Amino acid sequence: MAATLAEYLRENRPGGFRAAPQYFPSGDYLTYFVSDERCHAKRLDDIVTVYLANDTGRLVGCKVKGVRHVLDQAGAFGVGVDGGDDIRLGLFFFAAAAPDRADRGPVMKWYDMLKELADVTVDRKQLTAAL
Amino acid sequence: MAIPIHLLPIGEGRLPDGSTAPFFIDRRELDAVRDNGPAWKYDDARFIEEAVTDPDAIFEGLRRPNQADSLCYSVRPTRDPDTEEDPYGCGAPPVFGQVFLAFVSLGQMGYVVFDWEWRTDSADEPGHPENWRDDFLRRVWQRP
Repeated sequence: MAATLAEYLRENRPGGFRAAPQYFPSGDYLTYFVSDERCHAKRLDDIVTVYLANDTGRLVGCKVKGVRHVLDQAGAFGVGVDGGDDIRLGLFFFAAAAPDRADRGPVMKWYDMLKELADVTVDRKQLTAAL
Repeated sequence: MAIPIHLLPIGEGRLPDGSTAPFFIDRRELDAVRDNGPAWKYDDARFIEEAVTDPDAIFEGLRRPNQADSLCYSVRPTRDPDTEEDPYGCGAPPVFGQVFLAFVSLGQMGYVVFDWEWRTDSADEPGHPENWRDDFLRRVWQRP
């Protein structure tokens, strides 16, 4: 078994690509990529970061930060996270986009584009550490 | 103290006060990126070591829930660890005009890198991501 990150990377090659949300408990965030093309990140706010393709600038994914906090707040206000259903990304996008702040003008187009990803669901089992 | 098996050592990273400390990454989360992609993100984990050992800037406060004390290390990589031995051809050089960021939280064993990404380089402060003044609470170290 690899003893360092450098060894691990030498011994393990990437295994493929799966367009599905992934939750990372150590940083309490999830990512969702629709494609595996190279991209860079653009932070929209304290909840959402978008990933934009380097070649075309199109939206290829997003990161939701503070998952535990958003779910806690949603549960506290009875916004449908207590059932057994999987959780839509739209819940997180709503939490981020709802405040109407004047300084958001230039980035509002990205919130509109995130609507395309709103129906993607996160497997509740993945979020066990956050719920 | 024994290192938990799920923590993979990265090396001795720089701290804002100039000292160093052991940095780690969660092996289980690295496994997930390896298995599910994107492949570029998995491959670019090779730049994490330079980011935490020889950064251009360190920021504190990620302006997100429960991450007020976390750090962000920013670097324009100067070397590609895969250049000399890259049998799989994945060693694409860093993209011009972008900086590599590694996000770090303080865990029980030391500092843990929990995410990494590229952002657009600042036009007036090389090695910093654009909008760093808005995206982070404060800059706590920069390369002299």
